[in-house]
Amino acid sequence: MDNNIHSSDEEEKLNEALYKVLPKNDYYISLDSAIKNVSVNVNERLKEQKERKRLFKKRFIGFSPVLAASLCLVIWIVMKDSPQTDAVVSQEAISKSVETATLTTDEFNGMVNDEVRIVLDDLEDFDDPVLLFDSMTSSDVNTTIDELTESI
Amino acid sequence: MATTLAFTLESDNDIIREYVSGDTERAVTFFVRKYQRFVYSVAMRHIKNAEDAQDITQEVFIKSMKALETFRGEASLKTWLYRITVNACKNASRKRKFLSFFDLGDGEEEVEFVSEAPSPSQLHENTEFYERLHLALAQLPEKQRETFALRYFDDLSYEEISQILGTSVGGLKANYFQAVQKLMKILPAYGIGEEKYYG
Repeated sequence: MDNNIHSSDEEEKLNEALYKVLPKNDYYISLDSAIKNVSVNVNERLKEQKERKRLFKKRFIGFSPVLAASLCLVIWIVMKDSPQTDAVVSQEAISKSVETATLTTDEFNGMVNDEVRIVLDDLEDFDDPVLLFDSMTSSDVNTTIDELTESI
Repeated sequence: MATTLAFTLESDNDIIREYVSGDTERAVTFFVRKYQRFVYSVAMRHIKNAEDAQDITQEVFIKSMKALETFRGEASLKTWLYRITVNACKNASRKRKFLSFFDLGDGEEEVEFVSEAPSPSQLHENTEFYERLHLALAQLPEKQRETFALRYFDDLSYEEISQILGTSVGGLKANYFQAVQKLMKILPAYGIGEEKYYG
């Protein structure tokens, strides 16, 4: 006989020999004496857990209006100040963007040209001395000439 | 195996159906009575302490009853329970080690049946049969021990054991054969199969 079982008959023979030394019933009886009241204990613990769950639910439901009110209060305090302003600014920026997005090409080009012209005009005013002196009164001109003479 | 009552829930499906339908107490009672030996013996083999094995048995049933509704029936209930039990034993061992490391609990009171097992001659006549048997089983390598116990005592098929242990059916048969051969030799030394300790 090698070290394996090749058929159920072989296993049966092996088990029969073992059964004489180690009857299964003895094992089961000894186990039963070791395990006591498991079903009773399990039922009790399951009931306890169910009861605890029920009580928790009950308390939670009772407490939920207070919880909701506190939550609203917290939200109100947080939202009261700065975020509102930010929200208005953001809203304006968004509406402007939307406005721009809805313009026709001509309207858009016109708007860009206006902006460019304003910038160029400012630059011209700054660079052209004639235009600069044009906007001065005679006393302003005299003062400037005096200052320049002194500095030389 | 299960205790016979006037009206019994024979199959696992009956138990599950009854549990889901709301008659939980009766379903729990039948379920526990049907599988308590199996769960306890698996716990005993893994945790090697009778008191802890009792606690783990209860814990396993509580866990499994809660999850019973979600049991998909892909494996048999026994293989499912086996996994839950082994996990519970691992958690208990981890917890015990943690507590004994910080010297917080009863980690030192552990009664080991494996490495510190008394010699057969030290065993008292009145030592419980299952304790002596577990001591004898502890002499086998783990795979042989599990294969033997699951096959001989728990009547699992080789296919089911294969699912649990992840070993081929052929390998399991060899393990079983070797386990039986060894046990035939060592059991008398543990007072099993001898008249003076019997009955």
